[in-house]
Amino acid sequence: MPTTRRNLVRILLCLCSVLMAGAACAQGFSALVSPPRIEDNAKAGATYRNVIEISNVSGQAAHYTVKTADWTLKADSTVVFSDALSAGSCRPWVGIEAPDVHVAANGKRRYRFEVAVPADAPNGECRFAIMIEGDPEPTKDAVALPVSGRIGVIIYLTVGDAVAKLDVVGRKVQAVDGRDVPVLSVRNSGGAHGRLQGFIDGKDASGRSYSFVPATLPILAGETYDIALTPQGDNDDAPAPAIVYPLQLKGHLDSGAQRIDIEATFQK
Amino acid sequence: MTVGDGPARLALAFGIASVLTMRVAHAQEAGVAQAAPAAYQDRIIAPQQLQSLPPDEDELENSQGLPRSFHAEAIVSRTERGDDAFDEQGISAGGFWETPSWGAFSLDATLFHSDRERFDGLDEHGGGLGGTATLWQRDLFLDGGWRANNGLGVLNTPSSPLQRNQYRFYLPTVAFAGASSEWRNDRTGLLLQGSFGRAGIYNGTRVVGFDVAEGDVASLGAQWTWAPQWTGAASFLGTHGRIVPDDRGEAIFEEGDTQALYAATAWQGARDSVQLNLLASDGDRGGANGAWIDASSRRGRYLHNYGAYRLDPDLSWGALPINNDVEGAYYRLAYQYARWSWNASLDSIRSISGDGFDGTYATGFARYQASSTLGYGGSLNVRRSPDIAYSAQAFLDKRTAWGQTRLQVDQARDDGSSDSWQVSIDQAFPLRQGSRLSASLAYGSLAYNDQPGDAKTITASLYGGRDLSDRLSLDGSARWTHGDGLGAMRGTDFNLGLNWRFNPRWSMTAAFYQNQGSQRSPFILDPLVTETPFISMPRDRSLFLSVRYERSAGRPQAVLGGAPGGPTGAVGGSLFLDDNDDGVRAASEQPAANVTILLDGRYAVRTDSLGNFDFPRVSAGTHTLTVVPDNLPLPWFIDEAGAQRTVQVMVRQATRVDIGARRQR
Repeated sequence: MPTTRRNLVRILLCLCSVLMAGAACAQGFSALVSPPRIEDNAKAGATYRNVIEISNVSGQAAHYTVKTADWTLKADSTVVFSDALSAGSCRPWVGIEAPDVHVAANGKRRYRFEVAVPADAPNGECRFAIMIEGDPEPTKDAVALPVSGRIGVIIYLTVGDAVAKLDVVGRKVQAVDGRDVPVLSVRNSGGAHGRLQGFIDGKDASGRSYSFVPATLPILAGETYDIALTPQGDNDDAPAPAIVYPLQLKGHLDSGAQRIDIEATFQK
Repeated sequence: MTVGDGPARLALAFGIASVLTMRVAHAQEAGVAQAAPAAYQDRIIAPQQLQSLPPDEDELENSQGLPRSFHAEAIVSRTERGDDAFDEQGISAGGFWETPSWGAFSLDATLFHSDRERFDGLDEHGGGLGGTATLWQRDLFLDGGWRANNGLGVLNTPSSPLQRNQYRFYLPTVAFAGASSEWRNDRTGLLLQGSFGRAGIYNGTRVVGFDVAEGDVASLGAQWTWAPQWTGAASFLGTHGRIVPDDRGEAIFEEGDTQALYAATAWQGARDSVQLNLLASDGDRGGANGAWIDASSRRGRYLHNYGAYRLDPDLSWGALPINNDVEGAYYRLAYQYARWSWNASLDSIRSISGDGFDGTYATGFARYQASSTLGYGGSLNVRRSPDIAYSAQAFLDKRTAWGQTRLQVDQARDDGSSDSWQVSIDQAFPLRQGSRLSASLAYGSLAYNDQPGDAKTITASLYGGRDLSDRLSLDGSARWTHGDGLGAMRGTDFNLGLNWRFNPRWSMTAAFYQNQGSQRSPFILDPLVTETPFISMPRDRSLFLSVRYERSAGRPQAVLGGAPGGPTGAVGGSLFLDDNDDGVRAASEQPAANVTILLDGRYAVRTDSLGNFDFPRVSAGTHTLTVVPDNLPLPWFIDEAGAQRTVQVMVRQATRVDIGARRQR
């Protein structure tokens, strides 16, 4: 299955999961928050301001706790949030409108936040999340259990002209979705997150040529992630190509204005 | 999905996935969280330092009941067209409302008074009252699996999917004032369509009018599945009158009479498809028959399209001209994989009467995506009849921090008699939400078929829109052309609107429209391209002032949980003629007006003179936009990806969709 199509399937699965989660939480946690993600720029010495909107889609008034969190990506591309202040966190720059909000049944509430970037802040990326958390829900037996829902808005704020700087630091063949694909270990030594883009050409041991597309997972500043390269099928309906290793890749990928040359042999 | 969509969609998935992860993680670790060290305390912004928020328009809305919206507008205008100068005053109104058991209704209506002598209004004298009104009822569910769509007022004759699914020839619909009905059985796949009314022609600029002609229009059609993988269709269309250009280039109805019968059958396999079309017409020009067959085969990275056709002289369908007096065959091979996209085609065409085109037409196109930000390619079209004419094009697409740039060079030689060339640059700038801007600059020497000599012409264009403040916005297009030869185009075209929303429900718009007319591009050589015959319009200049009132209420079913209530956003965009086929609306590219856009197949609007459409209050979530390409000027068509697309509406965000119409080159 081509990468783009597989991404779409993943998105659909995610959406389905959200819907299921929403249904499951309908009795206690019925918040929608928009936008789900903010990616913007700020200047040192200036205050960046923005607004998110919290909607309560239940028929009952709701109370939500709002706070910030640090976050990072795990190797399996899942997000890990941290209430504790991480080293180098920019959350001390962040101000939020209120620690909690009440939203009427089927109502909505605009919620303001700001990031006061210090004048001496270096170029880089301010990365945090705004967490909206529902109250603990009692069960049928009126026993309060610490079960509630939370939802997070991820914010990337590039300060100054920080950019990503990606380098390939390793390579291997790894099973992804049940298929062995070439994987690059990519380190970001720049000040902002980046993504690999483009096509790279390869020829496998059977002599067949394919184009490979990198997973578009964001590579956070200072982190190293494994990025799978997916061979493209002949068309959307064609089965995924079966690669016969060793595989020779030669070409380049992009990240913004950066060109990353790749010439490597992948052996199982 | 393009490669460029990948990151955005993945980013969306990433955002959503992060939310999911968070919920699950928290549910599992909630007990542990209590034992965690003292949490970080956020800084709370002092109330007096909070930024002020603009008024929340939604707070004024009534959220009870099913969704409905209504708008009304009073308009005055002054227009100069050719040697005419006339005033018009009118009102327009429209809206959507959902009913529990009668489907969804959409209304689009205008009523205006004109003192133009050439305008035959309702009283059929010079000047008077005119206008248009259309009421749609869509998705009326009935017993037995039936679903009905009905229309009343100014409509276009309905077309079956097979009729629309054409590769080489297109059958235009006919605009009329009357009634239409479409019945679809989702269980059996049977589709029935019928319409009846008086023929007419759309007119107007910012305000759409409709001139009703003398003759009648009637259509009847059906499509059905007669065997697994096999579909059949049959349609009848009878029209009195024929649309032709008058001595000033404006469209008028002349006397005529056409009855035409269309029948088709199609087979759809996993990798192959074939469709046979038969058309027979009779009328004041005599009887004629036509048949054409189109097939396609997908083999790996290759797509083959091939077919043959014979269309008798004077073959007709409705009021607009269609291809006729031709027979021949075509073959097209297309390759698409990763960086490469190329195609080549060959048409062999013969005029049955000997009076039309006899010869061959060959095309070639290639595009290479060198990196995620750079692509380039070119095309070559050659027509031999027996003189050789050709057009060639080279282009480069580059994405930078300044947006999307296309640099293009065109050259054409028309049957050895005259040369045309043009260098152009189109730039779409990346702007924040609420703003869009693209600019085009072109310089060249253009030779037109009907004009002696060639003309050095420079054209500069701007297209865009911007929110100047919370209440003030500007949108429109401007094109300046200067030529220095015989028959050269000169002057400035404008279509600018300044909108002032002085109250959440009230707004005022001042619009200025000026059009110097247009001519067929000398770079189009396809002998089978049938241009709309009245494309060369006289100079047209108008000034509009309007006051608009709009109100929305009600909510659709919520996106989550199924309970009533839910967040809303908006969907808007434009339909344009994608001249350079790059999918981006360039400033030099023309809008497509009066084309129907459907939201979720239920709510209908028509594009305005800028090609814009707008659905102001839409529930957050996934929706479908469908383009019904009635009134799209020939030879333009909407491809499969453009005709129906899924849009994601975010809370309080305006999702913008620009849809490009394509044409065979």
